[in-house]
Amino acid sequence: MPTLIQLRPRDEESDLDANPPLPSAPAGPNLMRIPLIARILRSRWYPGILQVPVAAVFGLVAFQLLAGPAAAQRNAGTALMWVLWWPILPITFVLVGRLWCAVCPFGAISDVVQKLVGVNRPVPRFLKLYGLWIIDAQFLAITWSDHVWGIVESPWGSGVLLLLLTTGVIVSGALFQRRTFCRYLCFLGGLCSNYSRGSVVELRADQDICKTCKAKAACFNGTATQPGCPLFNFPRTMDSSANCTLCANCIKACPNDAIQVRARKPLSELWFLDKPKIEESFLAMAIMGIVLIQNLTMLSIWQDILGWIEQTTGITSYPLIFTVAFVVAVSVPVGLMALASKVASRGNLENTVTNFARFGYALIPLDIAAHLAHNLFHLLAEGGVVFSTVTSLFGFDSAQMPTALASSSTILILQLIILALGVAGSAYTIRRITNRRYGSVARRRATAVPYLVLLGVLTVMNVYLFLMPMAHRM
Amino acid sequence: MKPYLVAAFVMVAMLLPAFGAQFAVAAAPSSGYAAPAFEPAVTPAPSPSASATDDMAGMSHQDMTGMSHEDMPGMNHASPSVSTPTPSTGMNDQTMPGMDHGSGNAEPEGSTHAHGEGVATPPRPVAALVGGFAAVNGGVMITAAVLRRRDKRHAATSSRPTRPAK
Repeated sequence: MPTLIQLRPRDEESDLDANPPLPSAPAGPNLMRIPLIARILRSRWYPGILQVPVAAVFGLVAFQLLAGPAAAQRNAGTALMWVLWWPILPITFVLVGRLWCAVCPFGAISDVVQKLVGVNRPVPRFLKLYGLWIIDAQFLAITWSDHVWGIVESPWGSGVLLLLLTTGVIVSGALFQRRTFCRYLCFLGGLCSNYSRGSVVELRADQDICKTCKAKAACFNGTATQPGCPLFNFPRTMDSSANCTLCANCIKACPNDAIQVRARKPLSELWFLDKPKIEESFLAMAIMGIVLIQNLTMLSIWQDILGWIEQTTGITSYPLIFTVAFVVAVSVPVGLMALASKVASRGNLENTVTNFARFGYALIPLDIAAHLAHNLFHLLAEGGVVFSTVTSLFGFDSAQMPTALASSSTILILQLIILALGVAGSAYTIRRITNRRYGSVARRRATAVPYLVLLGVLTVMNVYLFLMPMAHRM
Repeated sequence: MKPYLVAAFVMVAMLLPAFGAQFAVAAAPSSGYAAPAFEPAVTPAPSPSASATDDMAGMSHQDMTGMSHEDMPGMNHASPSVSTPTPSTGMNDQTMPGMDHGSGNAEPEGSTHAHGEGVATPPRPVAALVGGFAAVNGGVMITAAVLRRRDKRHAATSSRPTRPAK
């Protein structure tokens, strides 16, 4: 009787690469072997000792925003929040992942509310399913609101935003388990989760030790004295840093010392993703669109674009005109990504959605770079405002000091260097993903080329916008 | 430090601005902040262009891309959508591309840019906002506390051994 053997074509273009297990990320050096780091992370003072000063500054910022000077350039809250904190934040994501979330005052508020009155209901199913889409929508809505109603340039608007977010945190902390808001609803958390994939540290469990564990998942559930993971991660199966805040709860709860904090190559997590999510890829592309529109609105051509839209559509209302421009700006990267994915799908025999989900991550390095480069302008061209506004709180008159910390040419050079690093990172990530995923040279090439072209288009757009002089925000 | 001390500090830090804001509004509704440095009439606002004209190391006004004083294409000085900037020496917002302060004619409510310094800002409803914030969140927390109490009572009741039906 003939035996049925599944035959494969013998030519080089065959799908031989589909079945073998994909290589996983190599484990980097365990930083827990450094006594100082191990002592800090196991300390009961960590991360509380960091939360205290951050909460104090947060209180000052909130007070200033709501009750301080109405003019943004004289408000210490606006300066600390948008000129100092916001530009520095992405740098921390690249270096230490979501560590900010471990010291974020919102997380602390959620914990306190939960302890006082928390009902500890399970996370609603729709949040688990669509939380990331809600984050995507929030991110877009907040950016839109900023331009239409004024948030960044208005201390009052920023104060209202802070109170709205605080309300969300309190509601979530009062009703749901752990840090539901941080995991499923915080727009900044969504940004952190995407960017922290490029970070150089990761928290992982030692699988060999975990196999022998009898502690009933103490890292996840916690113990009598130590809470478990606030973001619902199970370290034993965790393969991403997207939702790890390095709060060290699992390290303290694990009785076997199985949790490791490892150093890794920057961006390396993006090369080894096995379960890409389209909503995360969408967020990556939406952030690119947001950076584009943020840059555009600070250029002189923005007036021309507004005028053109007004003439073309006949719309005279600014919110409507901006909405049109905003939708177009966000749609361009998303649409280009969809187009590249469609083209790539013909070469790699996977569908467009899968390609979109997989390669959206490859543009996160460019996202980070464009975001950093954009905010670098605010930090270096307006950074003096931080000093002058904060010192004025203590009665010093430093209003006449220059706001710029570096010349325009210096800032531009730094911006272009950061962009170049981002482009290189994205290009390398595209190459690594295709090489890992597809065995044949032809499939690799057919997949990589459309995304490299897309990367080139987005790079040209970004460089063009950064080369034009920007308006100051403060 | 005990965790509850940290939590207490965080709560205090969070509540301070709320109470402070209410206090500030109750004390001087129109003055906002009492520090003289913040009075527009006392301290001139540092305009963006003014900062760019200060002498700084490495700051060359000649070699900056696009920083020409000549008319730039695409810059419509007569356009009502371009907000009037604060006059300053050196680089002039009116002739500098990009120095249009963002959203043009869409000066958002409450937004007080350098060019809007002379205009008195409308009083901000801080008390209403903070009051609404406190009311909403207070309501949420009371509801949660009631739910938690009910859940505990329910758990205690349901954990009693049920008697077999006769």
